[in-house]
Amino acid sequence: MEQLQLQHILLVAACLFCLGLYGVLTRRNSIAMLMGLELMFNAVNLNLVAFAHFLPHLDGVILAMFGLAIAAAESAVGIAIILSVYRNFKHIDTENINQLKG
Amino acid sequence: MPLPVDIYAWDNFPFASAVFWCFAIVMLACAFYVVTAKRIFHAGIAMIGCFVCVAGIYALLGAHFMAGLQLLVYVGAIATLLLFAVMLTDKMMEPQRKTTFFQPVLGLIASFSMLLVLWLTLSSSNFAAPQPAVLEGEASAINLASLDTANIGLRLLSPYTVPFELISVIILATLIGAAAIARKEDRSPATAPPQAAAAAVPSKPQEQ
Amino acid sequence: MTTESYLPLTGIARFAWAIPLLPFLAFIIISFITRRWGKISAGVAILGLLGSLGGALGILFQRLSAPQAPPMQISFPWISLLPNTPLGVIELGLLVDNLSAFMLTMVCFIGLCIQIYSVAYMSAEIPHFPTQGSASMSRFFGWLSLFMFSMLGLVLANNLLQTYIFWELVGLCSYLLIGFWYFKTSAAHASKKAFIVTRFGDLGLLMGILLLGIALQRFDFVGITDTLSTNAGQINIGLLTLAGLLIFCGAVGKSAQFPLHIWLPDAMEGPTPVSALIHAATMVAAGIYLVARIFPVFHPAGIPTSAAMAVAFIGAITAFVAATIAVVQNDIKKVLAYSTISQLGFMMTALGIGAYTAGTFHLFTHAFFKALLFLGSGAVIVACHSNDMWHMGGLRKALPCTWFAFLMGCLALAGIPPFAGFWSKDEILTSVSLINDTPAGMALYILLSLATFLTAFYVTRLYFITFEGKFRGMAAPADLQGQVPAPTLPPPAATSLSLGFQPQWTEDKAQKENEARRKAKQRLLPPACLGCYMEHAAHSAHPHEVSPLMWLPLLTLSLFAIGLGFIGIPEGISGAPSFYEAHIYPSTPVVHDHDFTWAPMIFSVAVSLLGIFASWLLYGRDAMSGERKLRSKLGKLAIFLQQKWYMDHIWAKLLSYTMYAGANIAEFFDNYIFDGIVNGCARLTKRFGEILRQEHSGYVQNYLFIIVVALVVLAIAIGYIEPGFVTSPVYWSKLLQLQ
Repeated sequence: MEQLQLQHILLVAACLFCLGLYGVLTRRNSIAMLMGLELMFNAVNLNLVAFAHFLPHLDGVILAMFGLAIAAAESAVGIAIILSVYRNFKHIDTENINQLKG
Repeated sequence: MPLPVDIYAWDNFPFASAVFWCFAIVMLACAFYVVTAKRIFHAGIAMIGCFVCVAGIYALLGAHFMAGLQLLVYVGAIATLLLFAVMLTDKMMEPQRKTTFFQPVLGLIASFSMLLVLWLTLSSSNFAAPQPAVLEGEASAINLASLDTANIGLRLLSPYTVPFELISVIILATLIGAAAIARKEDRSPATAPPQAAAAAVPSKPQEQ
Repeated sequence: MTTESYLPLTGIARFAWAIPLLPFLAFIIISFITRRWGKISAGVAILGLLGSLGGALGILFQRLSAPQAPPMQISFPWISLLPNTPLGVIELGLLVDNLSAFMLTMVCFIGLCIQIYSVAYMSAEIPHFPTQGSASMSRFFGWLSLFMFSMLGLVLANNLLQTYIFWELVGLCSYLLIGFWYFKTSAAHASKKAFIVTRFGDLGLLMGILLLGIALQRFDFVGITDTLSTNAGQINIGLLTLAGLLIFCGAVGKSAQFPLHIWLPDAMEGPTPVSALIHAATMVAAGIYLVARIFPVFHPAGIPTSAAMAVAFIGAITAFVAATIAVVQNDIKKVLAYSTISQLGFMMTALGIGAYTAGTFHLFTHAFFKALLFLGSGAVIVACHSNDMWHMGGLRKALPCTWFAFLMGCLALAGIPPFAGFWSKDEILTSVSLINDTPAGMALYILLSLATFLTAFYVTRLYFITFEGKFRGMAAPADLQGQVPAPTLPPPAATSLSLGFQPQWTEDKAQKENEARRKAKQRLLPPACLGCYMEHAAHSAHPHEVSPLMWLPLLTLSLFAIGLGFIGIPEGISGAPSFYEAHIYPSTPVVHDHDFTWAPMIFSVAVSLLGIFASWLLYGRDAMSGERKLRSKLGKLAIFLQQKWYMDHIWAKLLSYTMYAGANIAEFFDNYIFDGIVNGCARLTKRFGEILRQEHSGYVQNYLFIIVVALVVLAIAIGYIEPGFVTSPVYWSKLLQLQ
C-alpha cells in the first residue's frame, strides 16, 4: 500500500457519487430518492475536502461547508414537498406520480 | 516465512492510506446498502453509517471542523429529518415494491457510464503539478495550507463574507418555504379566503 | 405577275387610310355624342360609310385603269422588339392592289345597302322589346360602324400580324352583334359559341402565322409573294405546308368550314342585317380573303401542296354537309346560314385546287346575292313576325317588291344562267372538272355537283314554302314547325363521384338555379323576349309590304345579283379573258387551265335544273304535303340531318370529355399530390410530435436518466475535441504508446 493519494480519494468519491446516482434513478420511494441525493452531496463534499487537503488550500473546505448548508436546506424543502405530495396522493411512489405525462 | 509486508518497519507504514481504505470500504458498503435496501428505515440507518464514515475521512484529511459539521448536520439533522419523514409517510416498515424491470437496468447504464467517464478522466489527469498556494495579488493573513478551524473562521469573515450572509438568508427562506409547503391545510371558514375570490376558488386546487 | 415588289401609294390611294377610319370615327361619335338619338346615330354611320364607299370606288377606278400595275403599299414600324431584324418589327400598313380594291368596294357597297335597310328594320323590330329604346338603335349602328372599321382594316392590312389584329376585332364585333338581343339566353349562348369556336381556329392561325414568318422570314404579303415566286425551291416545303394548314385552321373557324361550322347557324340569333352583313357577305369572307392573300403559300411556284388539297377537301365536304342540312330546316334564316356555309365551301375548294379567279369571283357574287337573300328574309320576317317558314306562305302578292328581289336572289343562288351565281359557280365546277382524272378530283367534283343539286333543291323549297301557296300565319302545321332541340352536355364523368368527392356545382344544379332566376325575371320581360322565336300575334291576318327603305336596297342588290356575273364570262364563250380575270391580277400563275369545254357548264346547269324540278314536284302545289312526303321518305335521315349530323352533340361530348379528363387529372394532382404534400407536412409534424410526446412519461427518474446520459455523451464529445481528455484519440494513442 502506498501513500494516500488524491486519485484514490477522488475515485472513492466517484464511486459514492455513482451509487447515489443509481439510488436516485432506481428507487421507488421518494424519500429513498432523497437518500441517494444525500449520498451524491457527500461525494461532492468529499471531493472538495480531498482537494483542500492535497493542494493544499482552505477554500475547498469553505466550499464544502457552503455546499453542506445548501444540502441541508434542500433536503428540508424536499421533505416538505414530499409531505405535501403524500397528503395529496396518499403515497409517494415515484412510478405513480406521473401526472405530467403526455 | 517472511511476510510480504515488513510489519516491523512501522515508519513507512502508510497509516493514512490504511485508515482511509477502511473508512472507504465501510462507506461504500453502507452506501450500497442505502440504495438497495428493501426497507426504507434500514436504508436510513445505513445512510447514517455512511455519513459517519465520511466524517471519519474528513478528520483523516485534517478538516476537523468539517468532520464535526458533517456529524452535526448530516447525521444529526438531515438523517434525522429523513427518518422522521419516513416515519411520517407510513411506509417505513413495509418492503419496497418491486420496480419495473427496466428501471434498474437504466440506472445501471447511467451509473456505470458515469463512473466510467469519471474514472477515465481521473486516471488520465495529472495531479502532480504543484499548484500555487496563494492566488496572485492576494495577501493573506492566514496560512491557507492549514485547515484549522480558526483559519476557516477568518476565511469566512473575509473574503467569504457575502456568501456567509447569503447562506443565512437562504436558510431563512428555506425555513419559511418548508413551513409553508408542509403546513397542514386549514379548512375552517374563519380562515377561508375572502368572498370576492371565492367564486374562482372552487375550480382551482386547494390553496394553502 | 411581275417581279417588281410594290409601289408607294399614289393618287387617291394616298387616302386609303381614311377608308377604315371614317366608320371608326362614326363609332366614336355614336358612342360618345349621339347615343341617345338612334336615328341620328344611323345617319352618322351611313355618312361615314358613304365616305368610305367614295374612297373605295376611287381606289377601284384607279386600279382598274392600270390592272397590271404592281400593288401599292405603305407601312411603318409600330413595335420594334428587335430592330433591324425582319421578324422583330411589327408593322402597320396598307396594301392596295386589285383584290383589295374589289373587296373594299364590295364591303362598302353592301355595307351601305345594309345600313340603309337596317334603319327601317331596327325601327320595326326594336319596339317588340319594351326594355329597348332609341339607344338600342345607336348601339346597333355604333357596333356596325366598328365592324365596318374592322373589316376594312382587315382588307387593307399589308401583313399577317395586322390581319390577325383585325381578324380578332372582327370576331369581337361579331360577338357583340350576334348577342345584340342580349336579354335572350339563346342569343347570349350563340354569341359565346361563335366567339369561342372561332377562337379555336384562331389558335391555329396564330401558330401558322408565326411558322410562316419563321419559314419565310417576313410577314408582309408582298414579301411572301415575292419570296415564294423567286426562290420557292429553297423553302422547306414541309414547313410551308404546316404553316399553310395552320393558317387554314383560322379560315376554317372564321369561314365556318367543317368541322368548325357549328357557330354560324346559331349566329342567326342576331338581327337580320347583322346576319346579312357579317355572316353572309363580309366576315365569313375574311377566311376566303386570307387564303387568297397567302395563295402562294398553298401553291408555291404553281404546284399545290398537300395543304392545298386539304383546303379543297374540307371545302367540298363543307359544301356537301351544309347543303344536306339546309334541306330540312324550318327557320328561314337557318336555311340561308347553311347555304352560306355551303357556298363558302365552294370557294374554299376553288382556292384549294388553285382556281384563284373562280374562288374570288364567287366570293364577290355570293356576297351580293346572299346579302340580298338575307335582307329579303328580314323583310319577310318583319312582315310575318316570325322566323318560321311554316308561318309564312303566299307572300308573292302581299310583298311584291320583296318577292321580286328575293326571286332574283334565289335564281342566282341556284345557279341559273344568266344570273350572277351561275357564272361564278360554274367556273368553280369547271375548274374542278379539269382535275377529274385523279380520284381526288373526281371525289371533289362529285361532292360539289351533289351540293349544287341540293342547293337548287333547298332554295326552291325555301321559295315555294315562303312565297307560294296561301298565307298560313299562326295556323301553322304543328308537326312541321318548331326548332330542333339543342344538345345537352353529358353529365360529369363518374370518377370524381366514385372517389367520394361531391362537386359543389353540377350542371343540373346550375340549371335549376338559372330556372329559378329566370322565372323571377320573367315577370319583367314580355314573352317575346324569351326563346329565340320572335313569336307575336300577327298584327293583321295578312302581311303587308315593308317600307321602301327596306325594298330599295333589296332591288339595288338584285340588280347586282342579276348583272354582276357578266364581268366573269369565261374565255371560252367570249373569246377573250373575262373582265374580272383580267383585272384581278393574280399573284401567281393559276392552275386554272384556259381550255374551255361546254360539257361541265351544261352539266352544272342540268344539275341545278334537276334540283329545281325535284323541289317543284314536291312543293309546287302544296308545300305542307310535300314536306311531309319528303320527311317520311327520308325517315331517320331527316332527323339525322335536322340534328345537323349530330355535330353539336359530337363537339359537346368531345369538349366535355376532354375537359373532364383534364379536370380529373388536375383533381388527382390536386388532391393526392399537392394536398398530399401540404397535408403531409402537417401530418408529419403531428406524427413527429406524437412520437416525441411519448418521451413525456411524467416519470422523474426517466428524465433524470436522460440527463445523465446526455452528460456522459457530452463528456465523450468534448473528449474528441479536447485532446488529452479521456476519450480522445490522442489520449488513447499516448496510452497505448502509439505514435
